Amino acid sequence: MRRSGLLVCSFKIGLVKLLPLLFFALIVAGCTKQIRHPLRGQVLEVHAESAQIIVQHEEIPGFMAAMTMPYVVKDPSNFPRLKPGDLINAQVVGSGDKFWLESVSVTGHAEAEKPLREPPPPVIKVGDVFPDFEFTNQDGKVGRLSDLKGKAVLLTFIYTRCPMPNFCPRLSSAFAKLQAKQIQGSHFVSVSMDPKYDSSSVLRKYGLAYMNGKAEGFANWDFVFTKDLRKVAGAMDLEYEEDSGQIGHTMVIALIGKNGKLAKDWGSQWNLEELEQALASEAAR
Amino acid sequence: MRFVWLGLVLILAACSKVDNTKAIENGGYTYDENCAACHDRPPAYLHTVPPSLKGLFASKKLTPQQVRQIISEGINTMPSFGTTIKGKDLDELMLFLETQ
Repeated sequence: MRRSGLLVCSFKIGLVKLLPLLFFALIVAGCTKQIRHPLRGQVLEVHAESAQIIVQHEEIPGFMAAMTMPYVVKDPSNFPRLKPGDLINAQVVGSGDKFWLESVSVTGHAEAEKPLREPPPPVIKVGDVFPDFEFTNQDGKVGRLSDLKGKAVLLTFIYTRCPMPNFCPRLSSAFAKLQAKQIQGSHFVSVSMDPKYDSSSVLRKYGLAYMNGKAEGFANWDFVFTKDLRKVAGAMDLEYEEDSGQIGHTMVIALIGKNGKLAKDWGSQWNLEELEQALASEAAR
Repeated sequence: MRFVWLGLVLILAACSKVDNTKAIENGGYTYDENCAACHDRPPAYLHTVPPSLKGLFASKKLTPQQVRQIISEGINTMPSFGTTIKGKDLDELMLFLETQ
């Protein structure tokens, strides 16, 4: 009896002392409140070593758009049974800026709709051979970059709908000015980042605008689209992403020497004189 | 009695006039986001200098239909805006351009 009285007493003292701590704990708990949302998707990759799976999931209303992204799976016992292609239901649990999956249940299996992510293509550096690729130009003619061996090629990436004057229009205007210099042995290639929209006829119309309507200009300036865009853009570490009908992208200009190797490259920092000098020097080799 | 009818007609006319203020304002935002960078502040490095659009409709050089077509399909070095400015956005932009 005495003992239990003592317990009650110490509990009371403890409670008084602990009240500020409890209050603080409640605030912390409130700030890091867990959120839970049901997820339905398909496993694309399983990485047991990092306890992660890559899931292509449906929209999670009020929380996240449909997307493919990696998630940590809380319970590692899930890993032996999870396979790429598994259709799953799970709970996305989040606290603060961390998210993970709980209650993962496999509801079926199907061939993954999208191919598994390929490793990013290797980025090349000056002196490396520029990756050869097949393209279709403004006249619908199929060609390869290697067909231009023996010429100094200035290559860049554009898309015809680009509304930002300091991006694609600036690049195409610069190429037009350089082409007008008539540097012997030079060739220009503008690769579309928007092959879905930039067909041969669209590219031809676009190109003509930068050649004052003179189709002879296409003799040393190709406007192309390629199914190897990812490889070519990746080689130059170009980033591009479609967003609401436009393409957000970085800027890259590559100078490919007569030997097919990358001679020089520029990002957003370049000027016309520098390009002209480098192109003329490479063409004169 | 004649004045009563006249008054009624005037009131009806006033009521039936559509208030485009909000639409013109929205069109102005579309203009600022998509057109102003070239047409108001054309960078010197561009291959062709885009014309100012002030007085575009007053000049009657182009019909509204032609202006719509140019916005949607592009012309010369002007890119096509057909996939980004369409429907209500295009209507509001046209209303804005009429005020310029």
